[in-house]
Amino acid sequence: MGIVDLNDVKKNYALGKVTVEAVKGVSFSIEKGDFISIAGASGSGKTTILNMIGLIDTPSSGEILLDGQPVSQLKDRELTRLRHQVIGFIFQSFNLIPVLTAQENIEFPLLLGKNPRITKEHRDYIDFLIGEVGLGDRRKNRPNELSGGQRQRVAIARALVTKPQIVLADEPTANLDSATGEAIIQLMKKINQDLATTFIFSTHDFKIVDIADHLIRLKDGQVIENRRTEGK
Amino acid sequence: MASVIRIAWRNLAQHRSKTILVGILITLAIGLDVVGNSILASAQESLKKTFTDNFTGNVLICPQGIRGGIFGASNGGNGNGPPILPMMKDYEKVYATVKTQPGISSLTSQISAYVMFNLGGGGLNFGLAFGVDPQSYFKTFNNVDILQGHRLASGETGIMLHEKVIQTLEKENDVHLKVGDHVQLNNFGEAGFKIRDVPIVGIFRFKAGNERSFPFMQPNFVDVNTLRALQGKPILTPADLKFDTQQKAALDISDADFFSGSTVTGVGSTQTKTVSLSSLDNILGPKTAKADPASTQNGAWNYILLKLNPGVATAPFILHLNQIFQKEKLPVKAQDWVDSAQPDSGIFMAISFIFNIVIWVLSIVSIIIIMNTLIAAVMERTAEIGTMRALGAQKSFIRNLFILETVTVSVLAGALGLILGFFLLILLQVTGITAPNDFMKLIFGGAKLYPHLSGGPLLTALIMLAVISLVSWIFPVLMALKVSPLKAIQSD
Repeated sequence: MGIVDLNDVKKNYALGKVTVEAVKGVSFSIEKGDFISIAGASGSGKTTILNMIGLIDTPSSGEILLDGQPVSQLKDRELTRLRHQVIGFIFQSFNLIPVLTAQENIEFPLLLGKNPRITKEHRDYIDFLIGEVGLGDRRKNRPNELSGGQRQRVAIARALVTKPQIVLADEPTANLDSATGEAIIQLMKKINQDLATTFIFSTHDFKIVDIADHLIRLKDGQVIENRRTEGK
Repeated sequence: MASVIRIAWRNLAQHRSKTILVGILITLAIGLDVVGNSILASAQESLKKTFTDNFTGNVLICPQGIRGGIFGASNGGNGNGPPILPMMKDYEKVYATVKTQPGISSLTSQISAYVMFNLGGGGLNFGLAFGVDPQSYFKTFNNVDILQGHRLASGETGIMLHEKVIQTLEKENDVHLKVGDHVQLNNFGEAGFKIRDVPIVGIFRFKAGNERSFPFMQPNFVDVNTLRALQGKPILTPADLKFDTQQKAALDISDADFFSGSTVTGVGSTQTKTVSLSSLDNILGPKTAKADPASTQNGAWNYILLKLNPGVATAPFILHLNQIFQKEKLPVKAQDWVDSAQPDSGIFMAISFIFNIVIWVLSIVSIIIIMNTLIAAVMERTAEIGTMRALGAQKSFIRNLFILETVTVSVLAGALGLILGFFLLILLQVTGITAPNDFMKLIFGGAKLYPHLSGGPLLTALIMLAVISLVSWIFPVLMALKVSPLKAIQSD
């Protein structure tokens, strides 16, 4: 039993009168601490799978288990709580809150819990994360004052601030130049090793796939390759 | 909560064009509501004071059949002319009952009727006549300034004419009228055709604020017995009059019958007799009251008008009186100044009603514009809301965020609207609003109205603010709550 298990998961979308099968009975397991890449061409179903693992979309059939717990029957409130406590998100378009500074964006998930206070311990951890992602001098800047790479670094720190077990990154390098993209992936890898956080990222860029230590390759909504690699 | 406040404030600043648009709409709506309703409330207070001080008193008692007030009740006529209002039955008992009630400062009785002035100049003019007992009436209502002549005295036969009525009569009949001249009053209402000739004892104008719109609506004061006679009503109580059959028959004819020399049918008889003018004078005797009606309180009256002591609440007093009337089986009712001052008060109420409709239409338009603006804002922020939801924000967080933004804009813009309203009212208190015509003078209680803010308009403004805020923001907030966390991804 892994930290994430997918058992015969299918996802259909209604597109007008046509039903599109985005994911066709996918099963795999992700171990705690994995740095896993879900790779595939555009339309292969990788974002859909990531959304279902991230509890922001539900399977049409099959079962997803997070840390052994089935999630298909959970209500919205419980799913939201699980997303907050267990999962961190890194989005392709960064999705920072435009009215908050870099530091406030990083703090934001801490304000969504039952006890929305920033403690000394939190502050220290935020300082640590800002240092880790290399944004020490940009913490007071708003997103529109940051470059794409800096925004994604803020997003990474934000995804980690609640110390989640899993971080999901949907094509985190898609809107970055190749050098910045590689630096971001290397940063994620470093944090994965330093904090033992499970990273699941989707990509269609096979140059960065090699960095992953677990590769799941998709084609037309089906797994065509599922293997552990050495990881660079 | 501090974080929600911070985000809400920054969002308002970030989307400042929308915030300003919404804020201006709310400010204008509240400001207009405060000023408009304050003017109306001040005018209503003035109107109430004008009427209760000068015409209706605080409470009016009238027969149950009368609809409307002292300026011509809306009871229909018989097709030949103005209606003759029903006289109060059991007047003496009603008067005695009312007079013993605590809280009354003064009371008087009155008849209202429309009469025609016949000056032989070819013009016939309607005029409103108040038949009063001068002593008690002018003690209760100190409402006239005498321009010529004197105030009608108790027991005196005559008419006090309003200066505008005099002007109209002179113009229409090409005559010059002065105190001491006689005017012929006609009435051809339900009681048949009646004629009385009365001297002009005085020419008056109402004190400031008592003017009515048209000359024919200006009340003139006539001795009560002349007005009773014009209406074919008994001058004294039936108990005071002893008639034989022939006399009763003579009383049943109208003056028109008399002048045309028609025959009179005796009651209970098939015979007819011709009655001459001299013989009728003998039958009727002097056409003046045997006694002052005010001192005896006898005779026919339409109304009893009461002024209450300061501090006596009118509504409970009226309720109490009506309970007594019901218990005593007296066929009368007590009503307040609004009913008694019809149609003037009704016109004012209609103006208020129309203004309030305009205000609420404006509010609805504001709500629609604000709602559209906010829906656009929510749609713009779909990715942001989706991101918050994906990061673990419960729906309550999103709801609180939007409600806080709502409350902030509404409270600030509402407060600004109130301040704007206060400021305009202070200006109007200094400059006053000039009445453009006599009717507005009546409503304003003088040539100028000096509006002030009172609890009513303030409460209305706050209710309006709450309604605008709630109704315009509910739908956009519900839209925001429906945003799925998937929108965070789909915005990519």
